[in-house]
Amino acid sequence: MLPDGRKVYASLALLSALMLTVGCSSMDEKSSGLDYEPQVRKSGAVEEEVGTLSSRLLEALKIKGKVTDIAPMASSCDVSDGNTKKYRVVRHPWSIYDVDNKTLEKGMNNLAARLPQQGWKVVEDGPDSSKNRNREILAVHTKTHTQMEATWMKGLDGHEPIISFAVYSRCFRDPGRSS
Amino acid sequence: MDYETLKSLKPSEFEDAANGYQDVSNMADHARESVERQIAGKMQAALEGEAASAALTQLRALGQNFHYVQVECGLASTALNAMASDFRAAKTHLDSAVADAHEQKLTVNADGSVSYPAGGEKSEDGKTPEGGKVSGIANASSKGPLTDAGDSSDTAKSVAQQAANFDPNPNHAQALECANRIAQAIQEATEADELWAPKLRSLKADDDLTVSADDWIDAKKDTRGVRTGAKDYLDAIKDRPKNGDPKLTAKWWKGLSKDQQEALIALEPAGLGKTDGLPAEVRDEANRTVLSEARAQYQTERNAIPPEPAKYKTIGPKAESVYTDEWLAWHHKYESRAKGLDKALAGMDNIERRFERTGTNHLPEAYLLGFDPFANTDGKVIIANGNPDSADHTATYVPGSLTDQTNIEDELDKSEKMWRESSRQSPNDSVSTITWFDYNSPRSAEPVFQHDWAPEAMSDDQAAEGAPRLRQFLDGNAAAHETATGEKGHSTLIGHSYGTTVIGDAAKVDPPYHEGRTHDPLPVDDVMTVASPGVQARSPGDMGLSPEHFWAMASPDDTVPSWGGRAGLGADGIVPTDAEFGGNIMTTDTEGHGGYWDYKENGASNSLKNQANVIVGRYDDVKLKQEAPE
Repeated sequence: MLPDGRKVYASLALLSALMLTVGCSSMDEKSSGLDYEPQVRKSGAVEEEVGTLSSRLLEALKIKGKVTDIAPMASSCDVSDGNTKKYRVVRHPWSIYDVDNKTLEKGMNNLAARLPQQGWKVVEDGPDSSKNRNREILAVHTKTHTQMEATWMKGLDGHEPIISFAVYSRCFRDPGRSS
Repeated sequence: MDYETLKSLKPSEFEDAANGYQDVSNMADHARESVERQIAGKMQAALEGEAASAALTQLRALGQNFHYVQVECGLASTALNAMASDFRAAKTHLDSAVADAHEQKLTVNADGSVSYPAGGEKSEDGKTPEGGKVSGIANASSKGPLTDAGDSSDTAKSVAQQAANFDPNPNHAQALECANRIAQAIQEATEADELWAPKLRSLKADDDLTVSADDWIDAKKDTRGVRTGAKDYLDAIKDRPKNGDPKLTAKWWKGLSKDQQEALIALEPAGLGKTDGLPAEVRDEANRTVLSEARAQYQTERNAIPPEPAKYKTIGPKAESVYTDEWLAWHHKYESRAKGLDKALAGMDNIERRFERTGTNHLPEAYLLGFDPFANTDGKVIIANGNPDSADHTATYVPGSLTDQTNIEDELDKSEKMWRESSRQSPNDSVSTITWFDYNSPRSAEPVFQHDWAPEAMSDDQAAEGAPRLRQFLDGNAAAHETATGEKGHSTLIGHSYGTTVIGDAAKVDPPYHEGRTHDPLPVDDVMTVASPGVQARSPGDMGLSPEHFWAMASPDDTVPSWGGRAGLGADGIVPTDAEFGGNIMTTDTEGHGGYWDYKENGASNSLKNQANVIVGRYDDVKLKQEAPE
């Protein structure tokens, strides 16, 4: 880089320094403040809990199809109390596939009807904002605060029709990972 | 080595033995994979507690054993093949000399001497000149040690030649010629024997079950030893592409015989591991060998550095604090190397932890496509989740500022998330996600606080410097994929933060192997920028990309795109998430500059799902803020 260029950057840096300090502090306030106290739990136990909830959601569809073999997995949860490594969150993305859209539609209807019986509170049910206007159901498991998202992706543009799920826990603190 | 031995020697027997070693090497490779993936991976997922972690430690030691067996048997196989090839040359020379002797009615004796019959014009007394017997004399060949012996054998040879020439029996001279060739062939075989015997002996491993650092350092020495011996054998592998052209490289590799490929894997792991265009499996195998050997070497070197002495002492009546002489000496001699080694070892820990995760939670096999802890300012790490050569969808992810081999785990984590999310969106397709970290990531993104008054991330320097390597890697990926499957596959290039600037520069690179062709588009179908501070371009077209295949996302509360654009990383202050840039702008529902791979309560994980849908080409399922203009 030419020396002239450096100078320009330096003065811009000054400007941005002020900007950033403002930007960062406001960012920190938000992301550090989980509005709940993370529970102390082992990652394995939460993975199991999320996996079980996924299995019950699959039953709720009441349709037969292939299911992906991706498992629930814990990863770090970004909590800025200076020790992010010990905070974890479990997420389980999966889908049901090799089923026609008619069956998938039935599955979505069954799911919507059964969610409350299984202890889920439906937050949203309707078309999403994608071009395909996929039907998307968002729900919260009231007892465990687990979240679930189910999207019926018809794949009318030449892709596989699937119902895509994401089931995920709240952040928790794993006592085995205090490093 | 004598005539009888060489005559009855069958080089193919050594080649059979070489094949046997290669089979063992391959078997060890499979065994290591299944120990790591099938057993350790699943055990880690299912079991907890002291017994389980003790068992895991043992399993990993077993995996190391298999890896060591794989490397050493690969070396033994190559050494045997190269030796067989040397013997075969000697044997061919011997066979042709013996055949010529027979044709000329000469007899080859068991000691390699040649008898010739009476012959030639009768002398005055009416006698045909008598027959006789000659022994050949060999020169030390170029391979042998250059000593004075060369001179003395030359003298002896010319004396014998003179005697034969004076002999009225012409058979004498013919016999001498054959005998010399026979002696020469035996000499060649003897030299091959002397060259290889100690090298093969040194391949013998110690008989304990622990693969220690010393064992790996030994393996590296063995590689060097076999490589010098196998020079001729390696030289026979011709037409290596010179300018790093990944397409030519892919073609060249495919054209080699299995033995040649295995010889190169055994003898040149460091070179192969970084060669773009080679199959991912080959690079992975080579780099894992480099990793194991480097770890042993660095750990041993680190252990030899004495601990840091007390830093300060007080002197004088005011008890002023000054550095101790011992500390200063340590500081000058060791400190910077100790720090470098610590970083390298931490980086290797991160890579090995990823290997250990394979098989847990159905995470696919890791492919180590690039590894060098002392490359760039903070090391080089390229790891794929799943095989990119056969994947229907490949995503290459370029991380941003402050990435370092010691914190690369966070980036590997993002890449794993992308693999899981996108595999779910296209269940019948295979997906590979690659973390590409092979550039000098800026060490400061915020002014003043991190090292520099003007942060490095405000200059394009690092991006421009790393861009050619990214370009060549992508070309290599495309070439390897096409060679393996005959098809291109669908590929996406993703950058986070400053990583998007590297992508912007990579789009403008004209690699030397393009031979004058300029402005070739990037060899990918889609480009995705996450929180881009600028791509040195005003529009997708500036990067040679079509707008409908350009995808940008940035969270409204993320300040990086706005200051980056102003700092000059974007052309005319424009960044990809500006409407006037003209690509697709995706929705986000996450917070902050680092949160795009997270998800929050009562959201729909849009940031993650949008990435996944682009990666598997489900474009119309992506949620957009603004669609690219037609």
